[in-house]
Amino acid sequence: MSADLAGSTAFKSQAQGDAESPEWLEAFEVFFREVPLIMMGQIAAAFAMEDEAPRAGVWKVIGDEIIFMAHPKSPREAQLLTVAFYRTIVSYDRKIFERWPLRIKGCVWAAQVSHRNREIEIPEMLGGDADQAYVDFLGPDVDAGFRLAACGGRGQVIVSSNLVQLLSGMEEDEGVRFHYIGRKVLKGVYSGRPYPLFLMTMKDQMPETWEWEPEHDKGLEEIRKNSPMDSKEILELLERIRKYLNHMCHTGIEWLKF
Amino acid sequence: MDINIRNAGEINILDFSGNLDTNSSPAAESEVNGLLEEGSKHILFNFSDLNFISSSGLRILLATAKKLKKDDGKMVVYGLNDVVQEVFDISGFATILNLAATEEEALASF
Repeated sequence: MSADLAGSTAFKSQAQGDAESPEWLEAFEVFFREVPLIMMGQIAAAFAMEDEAPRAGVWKVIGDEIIFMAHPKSPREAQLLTVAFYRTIVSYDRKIFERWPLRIKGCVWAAQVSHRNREIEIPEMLGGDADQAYVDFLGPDVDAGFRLAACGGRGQVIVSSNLVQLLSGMEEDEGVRFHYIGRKVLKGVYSGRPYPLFLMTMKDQMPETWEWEPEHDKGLEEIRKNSPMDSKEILELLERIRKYLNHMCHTGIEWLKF
Repeated sequence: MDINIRNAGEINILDFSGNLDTNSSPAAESEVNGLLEEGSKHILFNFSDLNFISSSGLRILLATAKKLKKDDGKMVVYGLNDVVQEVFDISGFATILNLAATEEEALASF
């Protein structure tokens, strides 16, 4: 789950403040401090009725992007984690924009650690603990996620196709809705075949910030024109795309299994 | 970070000092899980000397609260300084967990 600060390059070059403590530095400190806290609060809220909550936390910080990682043990946990992340992005996008000319955008993707995506220990990296080396994850679905994260718009949450497929097949939707906004070539992913893009919204919490910067809101027109797809339509569309991609390239789409 | 464990009857009191962050959370989680495995059902988290708590520290509190709720147990957190209180406010944990100002107030809530 990637929370990416948008507009930060322009903000750093324009922000006021003195040389010792420029305004942009404070914005970054606040972003890195508050987003993980809000995410943890949203996880607590999403899992309020559950007996346990999955382990989740910050995996990496890359530049102006915080990437959370979790190991859901069931589709239900994956669903509630996605809900928690969506609520984090939507609420924090509004909060940070009220204070600075900054926005955030989100992406949720899933990679099954199996024959396809692998866990790798990197002993040279700082960040492990005394008993265990730093662990990273590599594989086509991890790569696709990083590429996909760049495709979302400000205040939006984009979701990987394998996760959309998983969540669309669940009986209880928790108010999660998906909007298909087309396909895009993600460099190096699926042999250059276009990847399906889905934005997420929730029945009880539509982003209030999408209208603020329409020039940055990718997919906004599509969402205005089209109501969210129902789950049957999504599953049929994704199955057609999966068959096509798997025919065209060796590392096509694989659905998640629990 | 240090944790000192003491008892008040059937209640285990964990006195935290230092920072409960990504580096110290595994040790703290191990201590808390040890108590839970021994059957502890009433836990007080004394944060009077805790300087800072990160999201990984909050995760331990959430996991502990879930386990205790499942076993009809209870936990209370008390003694939050301004920094820790702000973390609880931002995350919403101030409304999720049972908080108390002092040890007396926390003990009285059991």
